[in-house]
Amino acid sequence: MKCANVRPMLEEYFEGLIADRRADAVAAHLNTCAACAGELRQIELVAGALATVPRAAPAGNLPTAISLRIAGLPALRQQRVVTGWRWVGVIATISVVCLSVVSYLLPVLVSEELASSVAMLGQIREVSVLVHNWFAAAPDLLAALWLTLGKVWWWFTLAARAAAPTIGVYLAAEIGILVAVVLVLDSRSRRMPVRQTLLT
Amino acid sequence: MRDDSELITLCLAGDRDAFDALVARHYRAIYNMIYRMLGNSEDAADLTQEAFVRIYTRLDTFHLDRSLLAWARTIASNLSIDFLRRRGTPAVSLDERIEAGEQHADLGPGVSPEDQLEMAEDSRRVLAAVQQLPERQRAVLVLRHIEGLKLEEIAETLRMPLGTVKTMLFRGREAVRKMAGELSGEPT
Repeated sequence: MKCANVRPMLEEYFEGLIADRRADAVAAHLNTCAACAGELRQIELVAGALATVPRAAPAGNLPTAISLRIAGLPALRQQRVVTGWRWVGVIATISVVCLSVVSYLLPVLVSEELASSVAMLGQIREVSVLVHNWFAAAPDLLAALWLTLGKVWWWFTLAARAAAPTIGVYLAAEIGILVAVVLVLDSRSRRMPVRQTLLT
Repeated sequence: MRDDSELITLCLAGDRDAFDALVARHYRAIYNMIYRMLGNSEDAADLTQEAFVRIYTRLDTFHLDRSLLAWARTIASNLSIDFLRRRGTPAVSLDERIEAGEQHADLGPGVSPEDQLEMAEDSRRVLAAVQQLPERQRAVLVLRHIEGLKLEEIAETLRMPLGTVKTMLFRGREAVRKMAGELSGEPT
């Protein structure tokens, strides 16, 4: 092997990342070439100098300062409740959408007899909205947001059913908006410090 | 003594003392890593606080089968890289404690005072050169040589492909060699 071939491999050789046969060839070259051996030695010295850097001592009051910062935040138990409410909201909204989609499709897909069940499904949907609103009545901002969204969603469903030219357009609009709302709220709740979502 | 998983479970049940115990266990390691990346003790202390606040607020997303220290390193590296990007060129060089020649760790009893001085000088030059590297290259070098992580662990910590880690390590080390100049070497 020549110096021009060995030099580009020295970093990988130092890390033990090249295959045995090539490593043997590099080692053989290093035994006969002082310049390349010196180059490897400098790599070892850089690594050695960093590896023996002394540990820095942080200020003694650092744990206290961290503890004070943490004391200003809500307890983690509260944070988990907020996370739980978010999922209640997501599940409630998915339920509303599923019921509204089924109630839209049923008269088209089944016989006239069964189509009369649409009225019953409509009632179930009303109940699901009520349940959603009941969950959303919790005293925190995120739940209030879900309450508003629930109402908006209900209006949207009514309008979409009246306006959509085909079932496909209606379904695409319902599912598209649901996904967008969930994604936006989820990313928002991840970015926002949890303490801002608590009223207590 | 309780292990990290037990303490995290207690934290998630609302026990703040358990989080204090986690801080006491890991703050030195996190501070050191950040300090080596930033080269400034005040900034390192601020960012260490920020890292633990972030760990606390995201603790409910932590998987107990992972290592808390590895996760904390990821958070601390990201904070450090963001900080360095915002700061741009370094405001100050490494703190004087290093330059003043602190005793080197793990050198063994047979190292003479002259050799120790030479090695301290090598470390000073190499660390000063590391401070000039782009932030992600700097993070890779600190994690590899000062924290002693394997390449795969660095890739996981910095969420980078392994190939990128290798490239950054090799280029970073080469840049440091050029900036630091000829090193005198450790005692034989």
